[in-house]
Amino acid sequence: MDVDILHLSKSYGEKCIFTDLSLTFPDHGIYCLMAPSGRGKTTLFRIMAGLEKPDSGVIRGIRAGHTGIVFQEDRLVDFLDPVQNISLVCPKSTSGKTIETSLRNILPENCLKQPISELSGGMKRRVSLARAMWYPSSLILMDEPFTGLDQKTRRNVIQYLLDLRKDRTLIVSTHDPEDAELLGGKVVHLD
Amino acid sequence: MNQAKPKIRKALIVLFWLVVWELADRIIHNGLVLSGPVHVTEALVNQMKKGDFWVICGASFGRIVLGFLLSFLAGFLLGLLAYRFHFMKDLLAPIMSLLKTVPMVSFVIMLLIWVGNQALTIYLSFLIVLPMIYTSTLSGMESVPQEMLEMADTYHLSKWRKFLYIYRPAVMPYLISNTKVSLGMSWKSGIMAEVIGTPEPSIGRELYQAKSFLQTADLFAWTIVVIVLSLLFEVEFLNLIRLFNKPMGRGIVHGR
Repeated sequence: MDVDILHLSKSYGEKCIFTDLSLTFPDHGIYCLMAPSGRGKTTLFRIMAGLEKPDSGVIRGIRAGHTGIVFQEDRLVDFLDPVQNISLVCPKSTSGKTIETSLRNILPENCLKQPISELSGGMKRRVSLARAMWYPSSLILMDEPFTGLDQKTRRNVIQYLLDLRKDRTLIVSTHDPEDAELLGGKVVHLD
Repeated sequence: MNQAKPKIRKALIVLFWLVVWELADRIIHNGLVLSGPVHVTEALVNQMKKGDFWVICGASFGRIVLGFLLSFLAGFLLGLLAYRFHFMKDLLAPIMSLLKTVPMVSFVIMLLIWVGNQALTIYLSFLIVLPMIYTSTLSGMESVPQEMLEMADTYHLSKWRKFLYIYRPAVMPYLISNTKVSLGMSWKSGIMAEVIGTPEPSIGRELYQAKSFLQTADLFAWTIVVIVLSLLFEVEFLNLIRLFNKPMGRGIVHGR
């Protein structure tokens, strides 16, 4: 189902974030949302994820509980390891071994059984990304997901995302045009 | 060798104070004022030889532990309810403030009139511990970062998983630290209640009698019994609580 954002407005007190914003994200696509900082990318994602309500306007095509999200912060459970963090949001039928095998593509073997608190910032970021991909959803939102990743890791992680996407709609907010190129996504300017 | 050193050091410190205590006893040389470790040990052995020693210990232990456990459970559940329903938090706020500020002796006198001397210890232990466990549970629940709650909602975590992996790690440090304090408080208040209410059989009654008949060695011996029982329960209960402070991550992953 296409995601339609219709005449959305949001402000915090006197500060207007966006007014009468309308966008359409056709189903199964990859979209890179680009805009300067402070133009409301995070707010838009929060509204799309149901974490905030808009002042006016509607969003169609998003089923509650069917959205995987990468927040700007990692928001992982510190004392669980990467596989456990991902299994936490997956149905019981999801095999831990399969998750572990998959994670070997983006994380070193020796950190798969370490608590998140002992991992580096870049490793945590990758776990957070993998969690969003493993969550059974029809839409995946990623808010500046590649922050803190070096060029090589970034390419590797993007390939991992594309492999696990399985035709789901992916909307990524980024400042880097190269990310859009690597993702092969349509650039959407939030101006 | 390195691990043994601190233990030897601790043992030597204890030995040093025992020697000071014994020397003080010998210098003062007045059994009514002070009894040294040798006399106290003799008094303790004599008490242990009596048929009802373990019954007395069991009765006091049972009363205090029952009051503590009931209070722990009630404080924890009320803390959860107060977090979930703001109305409950407002409703309980004056009661908890009252329980924290009313002098222990006032409770003892009121409870003696209301519930009699047998149940006094249970009720007093309950009332002293309740606000501590309630406050620690509520503070722990309120300390959970909003970001993690949003994550849990976005990923539709079940209530049980949310409790185990989001709330539990936040609550446990508060609960463990306050449990240590409340365990000590429950024993102090419980024995005090027994001394005032003198229920039979009870350690408090024995302490009262030792005081009445100026048997200082017995007074010290029963005090040692209280310390030992209190420490034993504290260690075991904290070990039990710490079981709930483990990551519990294995249960989430299937077929690893």
